[in-house]
Amino acid sequence: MENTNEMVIEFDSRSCNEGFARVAVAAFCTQLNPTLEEVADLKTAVSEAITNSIIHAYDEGVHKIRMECKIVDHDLYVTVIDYGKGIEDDVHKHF
Amino acid sequence: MGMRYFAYPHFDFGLPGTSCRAVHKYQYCVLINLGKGVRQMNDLHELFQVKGNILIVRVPEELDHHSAETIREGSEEILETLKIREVVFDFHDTQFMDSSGIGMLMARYREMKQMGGTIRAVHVRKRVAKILQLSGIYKVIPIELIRSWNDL
Repeated sequence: MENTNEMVIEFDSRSCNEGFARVAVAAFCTQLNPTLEEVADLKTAVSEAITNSIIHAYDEGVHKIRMECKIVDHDLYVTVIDYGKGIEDDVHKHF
Repeated sequence: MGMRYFAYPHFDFGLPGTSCRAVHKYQYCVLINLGKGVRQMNDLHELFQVKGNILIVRVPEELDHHSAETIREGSEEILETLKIREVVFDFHDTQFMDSSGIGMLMARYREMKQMGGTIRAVHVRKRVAKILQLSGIYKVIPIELIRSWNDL
């Protein structure tokens, strides 16, 4: 696997870190030579995911949000992880 | 054998307010004093301006959950204490917006509608216009695009 690159950052679940996460992922993706439009879309998508974690993961206190970025050839995979209360699985309710 | 003394090597970058020392075989700690401390978004002179019964909000460069909260708090206070008929969101400086911005606009819209007032967005750049369009909020709130030569 020659054309791969990974990075991981972990930070406090503070809203002031939303901007930091956007800039970090934008900086990491520049090696793929994206268009301005692609970077903007990427920042928006990451902002949504990070904000969800920051708002909903932890009821009390400040805890960690983790963002893992992996480049494989021309693709960038971004994973946002929190260790909070999770999302209720309501698939069953529809059956 | 007696006591062992650890000597941590110090490195001097020649930069005032910084120091660097080894704390472990594979670990260095760099200390940088960065002056002004955590940036507070509470300089309301920059964000809000009241002209008669119009409140003008200068939306910052990035409108996300963090800055939307600041705008919400500040505008709530102003709307409670002053008689405002219209809220104008000036997006001249805004290069980024996500759904938190949409939520903030919708909340202000509902608030003002209840009070018999209106809101609108002006000087909107292309990227922000795209988000406003995707969300469908343009159907509800008047949007004015920025008028300039090179950048829309």
